[in-house]
Amino acid sequence: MNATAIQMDHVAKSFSSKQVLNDVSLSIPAGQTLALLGRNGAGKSTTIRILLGLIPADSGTVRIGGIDPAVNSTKLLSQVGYLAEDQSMYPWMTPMELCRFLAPFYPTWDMALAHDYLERFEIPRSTKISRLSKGQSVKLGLGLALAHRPGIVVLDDPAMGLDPIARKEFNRDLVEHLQVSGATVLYSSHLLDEVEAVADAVAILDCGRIVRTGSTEAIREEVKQILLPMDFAIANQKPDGLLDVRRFDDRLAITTDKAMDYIHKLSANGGRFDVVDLRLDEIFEAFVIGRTQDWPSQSIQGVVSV
Amino acid sequence: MKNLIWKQWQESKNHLWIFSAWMILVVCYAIAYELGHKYRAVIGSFSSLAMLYATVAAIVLAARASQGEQTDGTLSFTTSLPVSIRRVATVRIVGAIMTLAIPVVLASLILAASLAFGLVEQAELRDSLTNGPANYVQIHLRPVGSVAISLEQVASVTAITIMGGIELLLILSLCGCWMRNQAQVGFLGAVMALCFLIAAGLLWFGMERWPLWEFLYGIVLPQSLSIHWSYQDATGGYQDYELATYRWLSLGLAVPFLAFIAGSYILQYGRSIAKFRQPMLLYLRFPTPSLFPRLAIPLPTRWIALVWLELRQSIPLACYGLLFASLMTIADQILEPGVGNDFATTFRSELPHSVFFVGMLWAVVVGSSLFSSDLASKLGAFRRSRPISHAMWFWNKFFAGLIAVLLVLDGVTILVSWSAPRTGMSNGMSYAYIACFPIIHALMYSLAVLGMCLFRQPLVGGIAAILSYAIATMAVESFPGTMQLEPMAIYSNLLSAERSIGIDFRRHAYPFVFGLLAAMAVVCAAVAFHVAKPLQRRSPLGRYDLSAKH
Repeated sequence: MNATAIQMDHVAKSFSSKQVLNDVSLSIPAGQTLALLGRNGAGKSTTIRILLGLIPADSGTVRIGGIDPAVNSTKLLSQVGYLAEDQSMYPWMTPMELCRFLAPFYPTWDMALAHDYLERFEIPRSTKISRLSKGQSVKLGLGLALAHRPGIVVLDDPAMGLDPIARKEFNRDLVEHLQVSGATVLYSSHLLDEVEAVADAVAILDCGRIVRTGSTEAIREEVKQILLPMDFAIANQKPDGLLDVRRFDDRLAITTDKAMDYIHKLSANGGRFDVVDLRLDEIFEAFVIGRTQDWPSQSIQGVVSV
Repeated sequence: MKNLIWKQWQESKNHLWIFSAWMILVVCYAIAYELGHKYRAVIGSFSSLAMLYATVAAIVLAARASQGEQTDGTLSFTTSLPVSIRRVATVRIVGAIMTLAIPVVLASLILAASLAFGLVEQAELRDSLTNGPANYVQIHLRPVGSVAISLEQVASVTAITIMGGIELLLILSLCGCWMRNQAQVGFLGAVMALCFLIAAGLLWFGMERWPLWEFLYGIVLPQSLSIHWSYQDATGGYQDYELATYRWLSLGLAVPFLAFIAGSYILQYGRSIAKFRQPMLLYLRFPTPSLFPRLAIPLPTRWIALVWLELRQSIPLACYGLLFASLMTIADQILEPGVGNDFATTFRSELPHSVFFVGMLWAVVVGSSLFSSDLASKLGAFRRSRPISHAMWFWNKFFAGLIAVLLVLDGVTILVSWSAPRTGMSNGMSYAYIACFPIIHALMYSLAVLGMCLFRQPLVGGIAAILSYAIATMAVESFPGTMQLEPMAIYSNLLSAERSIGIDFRRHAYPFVFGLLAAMAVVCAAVAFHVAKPLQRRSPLGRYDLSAKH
């Protein structure tokens, strides 16, 4: 079993009276790419800032590569590759100047690799950063985050603000240059289509709580939509992991976690039902905006359409 | 229209309350000072302080009027509303004018009431026309003006202050439409205010008065319709002043001129929106020479890399200050040519006189702009995520900026002017300059850094630094027992001694006052270090230095 590269235990954080993170625990084994999913305001950036020691947690423990970020964030930052959401770099520098400036801060900085990234990402070396396009700027940020060959890489919504084509291109570069390096990656995003191709595992953050973690495959396997007749649904108990209920005439579409257990129960009861595989974005949607109050009660006999 | 006015009121009301409080304090101070000293110069005190207010208010309001919506990110929303952008611009500029003018009017009403009810008195207007400027009658020898005359003087200085402030506001707002952020508008405002100050005195410094020229000049520069003369005696100081003969006619004709500038702003505001839709940078930047990127300067250690980074930003910034001071010196030479020395010698002799004042302003510009970029959210995110400790970043930046200010502004001036002739009291270099101004410049720099770290806005931070120094020196000057402790008074005393009997730094309270100023600079830096540190500290403006996103 792989050693744990990133570990968060029962982390909480508030700003004034607003609880932003509540009992967040997360464990990422070395070499895994974990996508931290959440809506805007779910607490993704705060989680990452705590992980990197940029802000302190109110309670809980955090370790990245064995380092406590609250104690030694400078050492941590020299070992981690970080690309912040919507960051800007010194606009008056050129990419080459920035590489030269950053090199002394990272003991493992590889100037040849930095040059290689500039070359591969087609970033002009002598153009001022202020004149780079948004896409070039994000790619430069990625190159700088990787040029010191970090064992752990944290990407906070890096492709935000890029157009769909540029996002796809960025993700292609990310997969090519990052996953093959064997680094542990924490990738925060709210754009699920871009995550699906990159992530080995996902953690869904909603209202400051981790509501689900697991490998991408396992989550797809365990979260399903089941279409079943209304009367059959009424005859059965609602599933333990119920996430979403929708009524369609005389049928019910339910999305549930631990779907296999429920499917076995339904099969045992002998009813007819259909099972639908879900995409990651549909699973995410069920976790964060799913409604379970439409589960039919025994007294409902009529048909309600939505 | 009604809703636009309501929106403008909501956006302006905080400024209006603050500015009104400021002007009410100003008029109370002027009246209290007059009651204490009985100089019969209350209108002069009020007028000079009101002009300082009008300058600062004009800069702040112009930055809001031209770049406020871009900074707040509300521009695209405003343009999507079914209302003409010219109408929006009209409401914005009228709102700014009202916000600037109402506090002055309020304060002048209080002053007028205190004159009308005999609480304070004002001497008759200084007359330089009859016997020439050199033979004016001193204020204590002039009779007390009648209430009607005093009220007319109050009305005159109020109108001149307002019109002068409005002109600066309108020109800055117009220029601001081509700029990229509020800090740039603030910087231009500071330079422009200084130029206005010099230009306003153009017709007053000679040995003759030209009423017709004053009238014509006053149409394009209303601020030039009055001039203040500062005097000090053993117990305090006062402001005497002169007013242009045809001031009301000038002010009347200035209205269409100002209306034309306002119209240009309204037209340009709409055009600028179409041009500058990209996100605005919230920090102040100056162009730097493009030679450096081509030089592969080796940066073997972290300290050298950081020092290089900071010096690349601070040295060019300070050089602009030296350039500005040099231009001021040249302009001064052209306006008031000296006799006996060639141009270069006179320049070297006069340079310290410009640098001591420009240095105070420029130390603030360097302090606030140097820190503004690294405290801005986007660049701040990049900087914080590098393996650079807070202490390493802050102190390296602080000292690089301080060294740039002291070396480029004071160091170069000392070097250039050291051998220049010391003909007059204010000419040439002196030990008094070396002992006083680097410390004052360091304090101003430190105050600006603190203001920037506190408010996270270069314009607000810079103004806070200048105002805090101005208020502190004004408070020291107000009392006979402390007026000799004012730093400029100490400098003057030291310089007088140096040019006559010989300088002694143990005298004139120099060790105490300048020791205190140096200590204050250190304390400000230490406080700024702590205030700049946390990513999540709540700023005095009520905002977190975190993006809204969690």
